[in-house]
Amino acid sequence: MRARKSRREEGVIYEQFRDIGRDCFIAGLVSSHAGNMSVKVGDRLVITRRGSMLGRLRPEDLIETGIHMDDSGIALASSEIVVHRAVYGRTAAQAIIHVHPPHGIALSLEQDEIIPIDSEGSYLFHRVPVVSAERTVGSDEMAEVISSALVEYKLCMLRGHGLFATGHLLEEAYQWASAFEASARVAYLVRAGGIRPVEYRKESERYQEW
Amino acid sequence: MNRTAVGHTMLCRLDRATSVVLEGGPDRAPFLGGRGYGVALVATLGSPRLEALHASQPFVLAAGPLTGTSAPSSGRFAAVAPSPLTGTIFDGNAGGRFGVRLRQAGVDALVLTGAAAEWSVVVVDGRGARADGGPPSVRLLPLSEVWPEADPRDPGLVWSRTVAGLRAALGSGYSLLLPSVAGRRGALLGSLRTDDGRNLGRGGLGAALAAKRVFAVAVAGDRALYVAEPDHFSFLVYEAEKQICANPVTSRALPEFGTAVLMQLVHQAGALPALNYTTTTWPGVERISGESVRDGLAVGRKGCFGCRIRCTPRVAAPSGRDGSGSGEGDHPPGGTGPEYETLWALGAAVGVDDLDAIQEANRLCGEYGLDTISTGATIACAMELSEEGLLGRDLRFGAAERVVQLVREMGEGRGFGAELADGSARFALAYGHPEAAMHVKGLELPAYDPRGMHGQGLAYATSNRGACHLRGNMLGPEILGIPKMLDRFSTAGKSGILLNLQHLSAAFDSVALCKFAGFAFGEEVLARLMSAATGEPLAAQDLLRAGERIWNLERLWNLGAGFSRADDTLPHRVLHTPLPDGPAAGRTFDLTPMLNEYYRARGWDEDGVVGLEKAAALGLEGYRAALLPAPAPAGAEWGDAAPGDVTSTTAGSAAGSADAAPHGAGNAPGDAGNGAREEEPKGGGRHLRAVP
Repeated sequence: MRARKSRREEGVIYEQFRDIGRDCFIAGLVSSHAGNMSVKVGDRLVITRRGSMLGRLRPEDLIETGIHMDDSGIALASSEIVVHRAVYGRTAAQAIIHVHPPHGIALSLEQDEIIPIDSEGSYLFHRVPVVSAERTVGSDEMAEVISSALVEYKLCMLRGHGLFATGHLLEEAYQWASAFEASARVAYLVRAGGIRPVEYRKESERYQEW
Repeated sequence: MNRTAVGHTMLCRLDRATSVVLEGGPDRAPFLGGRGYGVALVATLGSPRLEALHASQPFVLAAGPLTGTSAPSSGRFAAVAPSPLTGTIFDGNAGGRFGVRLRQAGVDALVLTGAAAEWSVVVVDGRGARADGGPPSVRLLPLSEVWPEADPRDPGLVWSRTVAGLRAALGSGYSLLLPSVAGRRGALLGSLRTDDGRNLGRGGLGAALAAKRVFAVAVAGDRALYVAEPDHFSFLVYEAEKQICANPVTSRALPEFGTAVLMQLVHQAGALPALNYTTTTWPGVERISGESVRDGLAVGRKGCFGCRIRCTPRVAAPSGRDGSGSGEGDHPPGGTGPEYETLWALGAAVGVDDLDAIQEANRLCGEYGLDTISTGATIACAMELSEEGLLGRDLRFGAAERVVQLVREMGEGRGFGAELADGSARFALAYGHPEAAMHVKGLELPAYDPRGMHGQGLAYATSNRGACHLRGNMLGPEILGIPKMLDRFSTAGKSGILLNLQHLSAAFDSVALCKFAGFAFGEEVLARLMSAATGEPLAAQDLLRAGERIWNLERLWNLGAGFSRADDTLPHRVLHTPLPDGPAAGRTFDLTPMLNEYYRARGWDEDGVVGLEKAAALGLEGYRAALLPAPAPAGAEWGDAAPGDVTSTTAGSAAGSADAAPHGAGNAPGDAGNGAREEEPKGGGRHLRAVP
């Protein structure tokens, strides 16, 4: 018999999802009904409901189900749960965020890796891999390529689709997502503006080796 | 020249005064090195069913693949052995130069088994780089020949005098590791200390080494350390140091205040347990704070090999109350000042706010070889019993000079202090009040009250070596906001965060870098440094997986020693007595739901047992089979196995090697036939359970 989480615990988890989901929407990282988030709790995971609005999450939008096995909660869970499970299975992530950052997606259409050129992105990431899948929503192929990338990196882009970021906490995963899109926006603006940046970072050419 | 990042594992049989290269032992790579490799060696060569101080139990010193490299804070090494204090498997970890010397001597690990016939010095000399990268010489020299004037029973032969005497006797070029007065006479709080003043304080490792009649281990080496991809490694070191510089904890707080910077922060959070965990508001806190240490005690900073953080306060020459402690290794006269845990244990825990008295007690702990945390916590326990009228003697919180006197007595084994030198659990039990001892698995709680930091409570309860803040410290997420600030009174999701920190902590101890670097960077940088150093690709998740493997192997040992879910608990006071005041006023600690979630997150059963499937997933099935005994016959108890129950490992061959196949390859643990002492050793493997 699984002990129920206390009302306080449930409240803490809901507040995290609600606040970060709203921030993701306001920041333009997702459209109205896009994106998903999850956290690992023991041998269970809590994930957003399929079709929920990250900007307006309600307590009933959080679905608890098994990390390894389905239960009835699977009927309501995000269609990307296969990716979340694969990532939890192969990494020590405690939280995952999937969003659709416009500038990151734009760069992913052209590049196999995104090398930040701004200071914060350089410091935090050095290099963000871009992976491809033929079926870009909820597929096993997608779960495989993304979870493989996240064994070595804390975030990765699925070409043309969006970003998966992991963290020890939901807030940490959100930080990576937010900082990544900010960095991608700078890179996009520099490119679109025809700016030729002056290099200010020692050994930045080696970020490709990261 | 043998171009490899891997050195030798040397096996020294103290009872036979022989040494060989250990062949066929556990693979190092799955356990990284350092602590992890040491645990694998102890689990392979020892037995959890024997007493901790049984002569056949191995004592391992191990460096990591990053030890001594240019990676930040890389001067670490580990000592691993069954603990006479807790009965668990135990590891201590320290910086300084000793670990670097081990690697420069060509040694990844030094395994000591048996007990010497007389007090001896283990001398490892790898100087004069051999073209084939061959093993160093490892000799066992009787102390009576090395230093005839030394009397190990002399309570005046304290650490500084021992270091000076051994240096004069052995000549220059050696780094030393030694138990001091307390360890030599078998006190269970006896610690180990290097000649440059770095401590492996906890768990009675000094008593464990001294039980083998090892007076000191001396290591000399001058070999260049090999890094597989030096150019890339250099780039990664540059990036890692950038992160250290960018983090205010590692670039400002620790260098300026040392760990004492925590005193005010933890107090403000309502988590500083004063007066034997009876309150978290204590008026003396400002007088023993980081600011007070900086302004009133420290004259400079001191760092370990390769460390830019330099967290240790250096203090002026001691007051000379006994004339000892006039110098520390290569460092100027004076000594090291108290770090946070010591300030707490010899200060807040016992109600003392006299910084000079705390420093004197700290200095004496170093000289006599006593763990400062357990020393202070045990005195605090005695003070509480005294104030309750249960001790029959006058001992009050706040009696600074009395604390100094008791530390001296604990070190020398005389007076009332002698009753305290085996720790609070045994002391309180002897006086009929085990509930007054603030311990888990026999190890005293450090300086964070779980009622004010719920994640830290789970960390204490589940630590494999007893109550410890260094086996997965929730200080980061609950006080410092690293990686992010969590509600410290919440339990939600804490188990997953904690076990990741436990794995990361095991990884840092094993590679081996100082955990303080972990405030600035985590597994991603660490894995890249390891890959470049060894030439063996290692992803961040591989590193954490190795940490998980180490943690589970430690757990398997403890299960084999008879530990169970009932030991993963906290003192009654923490669980049931609300804090009377401060930000955490009224709070207790509800462990059961957190522990249930923690076990599920680990993939253990509800009793905290590592199942076969879990062990197999980590490659530990052979260890599991060897360490967990078959169901005992009716009436038998864990720990009843006699030395004869284990078989001997293969003796060293004339060619200079010994085989010790890891569990799963056919051999059983232990080697009982090599000079085991007849008497029942004190402390033994009998574990003490906190009163829940």
